[in-house]
Amino acid sequence: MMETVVKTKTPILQFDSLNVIYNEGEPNQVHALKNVSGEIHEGEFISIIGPSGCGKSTLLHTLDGLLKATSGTIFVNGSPVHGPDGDRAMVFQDFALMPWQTVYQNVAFGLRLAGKKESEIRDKVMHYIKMVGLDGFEQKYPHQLSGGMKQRVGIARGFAVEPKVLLMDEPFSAIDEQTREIMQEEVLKIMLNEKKTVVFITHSIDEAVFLSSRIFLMSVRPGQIVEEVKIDIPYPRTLETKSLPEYQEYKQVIWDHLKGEVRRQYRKGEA
Amino acid sequence: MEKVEATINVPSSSLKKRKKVPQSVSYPVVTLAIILFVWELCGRFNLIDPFMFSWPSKIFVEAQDFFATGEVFKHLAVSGMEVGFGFAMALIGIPIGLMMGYWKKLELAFDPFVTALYTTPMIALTPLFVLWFGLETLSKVMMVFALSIFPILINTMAGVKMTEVSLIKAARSYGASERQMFKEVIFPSAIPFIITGIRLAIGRALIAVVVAEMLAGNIGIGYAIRHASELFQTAEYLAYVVVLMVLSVLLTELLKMFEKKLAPWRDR
Repeated sequence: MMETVVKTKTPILQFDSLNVIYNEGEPNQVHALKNVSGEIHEGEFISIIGPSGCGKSTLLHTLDGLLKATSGTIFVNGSPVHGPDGDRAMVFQDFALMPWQTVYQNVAFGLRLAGKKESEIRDKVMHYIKMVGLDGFEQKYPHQLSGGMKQRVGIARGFAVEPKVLLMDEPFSAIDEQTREIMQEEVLKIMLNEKKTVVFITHSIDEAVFLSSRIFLMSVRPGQIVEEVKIDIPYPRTLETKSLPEYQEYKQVIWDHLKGEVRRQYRKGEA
Repeated sequence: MEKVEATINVPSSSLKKRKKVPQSVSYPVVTLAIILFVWELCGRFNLIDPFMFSWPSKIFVEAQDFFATGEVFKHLAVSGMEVGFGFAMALIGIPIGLMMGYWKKLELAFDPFVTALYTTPMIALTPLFVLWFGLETLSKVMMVFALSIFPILINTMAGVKMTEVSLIKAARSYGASERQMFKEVIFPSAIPFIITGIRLAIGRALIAVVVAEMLAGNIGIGYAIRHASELFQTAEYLAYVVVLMVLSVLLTELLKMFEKKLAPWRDR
């Protein structure tokens, strides 16, 4: 039912036959993405999952504008994307926080670059620092924080610029298992509260099923979206959701799809 | 078991902290004391020819003498000024290094020459500098500049190139302009390297000023050293060298303090 409602609107993020070819025309040419298309609607939580080296990160970086597609187009609310801008914000796998900036300064990063007023920056930064539960840590430096706390800063930095779509590139892969589960739950809570659209890269099936409303499955190189799986488990989801039988079924379905791709990659000798 | 150990250890270690000097100070001080003591003994037992070399108490007496007459301050002021001006000019190496590290084409065009000049023993150019800039202060200032700019420049450049790619990517993703990229990412990332460059440059600046003053001039520490040596005043000569040594240690320590202020994120 929800599908029929959103489909009538312009997708918040749309990408059309994206191709990314590295070192085009040279002997070491790599076809990273091949005719990748998709539509993402407001409020969706999309995970992109696939075997390592399938071009998930390439796709996300292209959507952000950090990478230029060899061909194809990206639209945000119907208008084409030409490079990084405030409509999309990235959360990085390795946090990518400025070590010389405090938590406050890091969260304010995007706003400061955009030349926002000091008072506006202050309000927003304090709001999002509180949102990720880091109030009291504003004056700490990244090296004084744990991995989980660092990524909270990364998430707050992404939210602070109030993007239309938040792009998250394996944000929890550098965080220990226990913290990761807590972070997943918190991210979901925040997403629901803030009504954010998210595109999330992961190699963990569990993480993808738990978080997503829809999952894009990618093939081995050249990366293509070979399957879309809708996860019909209602939000809000908690850690208890993981024990539902349908949750296990979804995981099995995704794994069945993915298995073939991993085997193909293995035969190519790349795994 | 562990708990017992902890309860015993805590008070004793905190006591130690209050009473004892840190080992990084006490150890070198003991080493120095032993060296000075043995050296002094050698002097007292006539193992050292005062014409060829000297020993601590004699050097100390000489130093006391020229501190009392104010002789040393006259030389220090001149040498200090020469180093100060030359060094200030050499700081231009920071912006040049930033640019050369950031723009590949600039690096390609100039890097071989910078490396060549850095590795050349430029001290050999002193007579030429005297010819160009005269016997007075200017030739020394220029020597200090010529010797200290390259370590600063090269280290700054290395610092820029060592900037983590992920940070540059993050800044680009958040819409950084070229100027913001420098201010928010590249410059702060290069600061520790710049400080290292400055540290290396201090040593070279002192060499430059002393050698230039020795070769040409009638004032300054280098001149004072040459003068003492010509009169075979070995103790006085060594006393000036000690002054130089203390000075360079002080400058380096000062820089370390400065670095802590400038790069607080590095105290781990």
